[in-house]
Amino acid sequence: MKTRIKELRARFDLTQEGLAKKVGVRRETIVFLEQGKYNPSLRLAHDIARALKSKIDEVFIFD
Amino acid sequence: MEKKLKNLSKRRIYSKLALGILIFLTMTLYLAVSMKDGGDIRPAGIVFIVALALGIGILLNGLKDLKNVEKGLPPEDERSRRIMQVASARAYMLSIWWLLILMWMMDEFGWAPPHPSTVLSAGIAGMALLLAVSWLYTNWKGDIE
Repeated sequence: MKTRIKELRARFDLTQEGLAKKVGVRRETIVFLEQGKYNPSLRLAHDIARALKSKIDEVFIFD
Repeated sequence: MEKKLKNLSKRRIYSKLALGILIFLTMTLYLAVSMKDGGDIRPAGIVFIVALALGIGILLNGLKDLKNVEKGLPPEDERSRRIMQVASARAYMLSIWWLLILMWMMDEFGWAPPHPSTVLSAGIAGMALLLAVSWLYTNWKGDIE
């Protein structure tokens, strides 16, 4: 799975820590999400997409 | 993070830190007393090293969690809980093998420990070490599918 979290974060000038605080997770979780090494729950995927003002399938790209 | 949740998180972290400090102090004190009396610490040497390393690891982990809470981040989330579940399951399976190996070594090599508590210590220390290694590996790899 690939994600566009890093790209969208940059668009809204959000740090990893800032995004983590917004969605209520640890910074390490954002790091692993960006690396595509962790598949989030539906709830987390929804919260991240909402924080990045995008749709879920615009943020997470399944191969 | 809400104040109530922050205080609850801090209390849990302080308990973790207290545990780490207790393990570290106990092992250091035991080591110092044993060496002072001129005793031979070699038989329990590995257990000491493992327990000391675990105590330090728990302390460092607790301090990292405290730093996260101060920044307004949660000390644990869905990923960290999942990692602990997967790591614990792996460590449980490996621990069964470890205990079997320990028993086999006693039978095969006629290893007669001076006291039953020595075998128990080796078993528990091995299981704790396996959990720590399993957690470190799972956390690093991120392999929790």
